[in-house]
Amino acid sequence: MVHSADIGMELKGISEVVAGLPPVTPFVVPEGFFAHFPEKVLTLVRSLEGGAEEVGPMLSPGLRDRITLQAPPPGYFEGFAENMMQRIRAEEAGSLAENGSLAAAAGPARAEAPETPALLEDLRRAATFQAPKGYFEGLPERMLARAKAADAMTAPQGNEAPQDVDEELRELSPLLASYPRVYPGTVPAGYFEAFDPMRVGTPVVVMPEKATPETASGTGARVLPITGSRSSVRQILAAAVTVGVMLTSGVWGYHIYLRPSSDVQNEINLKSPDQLNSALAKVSDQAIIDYLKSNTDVSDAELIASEVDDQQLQNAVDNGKTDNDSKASE
Amino acid sequence: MANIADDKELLLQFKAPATKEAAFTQIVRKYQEKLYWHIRRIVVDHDDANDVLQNVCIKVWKSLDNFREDSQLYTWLYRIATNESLTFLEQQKKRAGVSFSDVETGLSNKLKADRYFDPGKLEWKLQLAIQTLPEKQRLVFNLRYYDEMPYEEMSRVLDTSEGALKASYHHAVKKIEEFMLNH
Repeated sequence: MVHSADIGMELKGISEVVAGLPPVTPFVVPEGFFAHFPEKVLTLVRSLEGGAEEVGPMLSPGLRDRITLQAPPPGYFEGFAENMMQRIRAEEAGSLAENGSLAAAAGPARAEAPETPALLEDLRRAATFQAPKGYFEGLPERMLARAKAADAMTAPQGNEAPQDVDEELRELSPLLASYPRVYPGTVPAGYFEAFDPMRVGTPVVVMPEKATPETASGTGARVLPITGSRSSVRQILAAAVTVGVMLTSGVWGYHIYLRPSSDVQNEINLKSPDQLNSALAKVSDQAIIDYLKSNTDVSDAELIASEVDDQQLQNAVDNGKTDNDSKASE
Repeated sequence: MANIADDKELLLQFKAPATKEAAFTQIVRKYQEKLYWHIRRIVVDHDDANDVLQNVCIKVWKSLDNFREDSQLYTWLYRIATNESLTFLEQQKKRAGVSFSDVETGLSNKLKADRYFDPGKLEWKLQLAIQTLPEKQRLVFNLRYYDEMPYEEMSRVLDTSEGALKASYHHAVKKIEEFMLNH
């Protein structure tokens, strides 16, 4: 066999090597295979259409062998036709019954029209199809697992968080990943050995340990469960206190710094010590004395004493004596 | 290639009940060898090729009444033969529970198991090279190299654009060249 000019030229343009190969199929066909092949096929076709001719002898050895290998059990064909007819009738009856139920759904008038024979009623109740034993046990779990697996398969690779932290860091920043991932701060020597949870404002809650094999043998690390609800209550309380302080500060700041000047025109302005002193200067001495008489206590006396130097105190004592002496002589 | 006028006459005869069987016999006789070799190059083994060819003939008998004459009978027959051959390989794969690469390995083994296999002969080496190709490239190479089928017809047989077929053929030839030089 030689390639035609077109095919040969095309092949030569792609590969001289392949163009030089003999375009010959090395397979061999059994002698006389094609001689009566059309007649054999025709016989086969006739037999498939219900003809009485025997098919076996004309089949290829390979096909005959397969038929022998897949031969049905003895007695398989006995009553086969009757069985098939029964099944066909049952299937047809099933579809009729289904049509009847559809008619019932369509309306009462149509549902009453076809009288369903008792035999068909029985057939309708009989399950035509059967699921394998135990098929429905755990079916939802299996479906869920398959759905999750499908999700995992279809999830874009880019959105998948790497399992390893180092790997993730390498993806985000190779430079950062090249640095040693060690916290440079240090802890005072023996800090953790001497650590007493009771000295901390919020003591660590240690749940009673379960006797696991690791803890029983003393080789495993102790697990300290974190009680989520308690910590969340604390967080809420802390947040409430913080908000309260901020609100109070805000109101106070508003009154001191931002309130319109018209509102404080007639009040004492305390923006600076000078303003405070000038405001106090307007208060009469008698008013101050009256106030101190009714509001001072021992701690105030000590405060006043600490503010007065020794000489002034001695003078005050001497003056007091002089006053007392003069009163006594009088 | 095929004589279209003859095919039209045969199709007319097939539609008449009196001449149906005679027309069918003539159609089979006319195309049996072309179809057989096309199938044989896909499934390799003669018995398998015979089974597939018989299936193709039965399909032709059943479907020829519905054949639309807007395509050539020759193209239509090749299309059925290709589909039946691939279905056969697919069934083999399912029956054995192996992947398609295992089927391809199996095809190479079938080649080597042939009574006439001679690794020293170029034509057998070429067959081994063809078995290393992906399925589509293998089909395209066989149809072009052995059957000398025009790309236009091939596109109807394989339902693929002519451009894609040319590219497949190019890749197939290059891979075969590489195989021939390195093995």
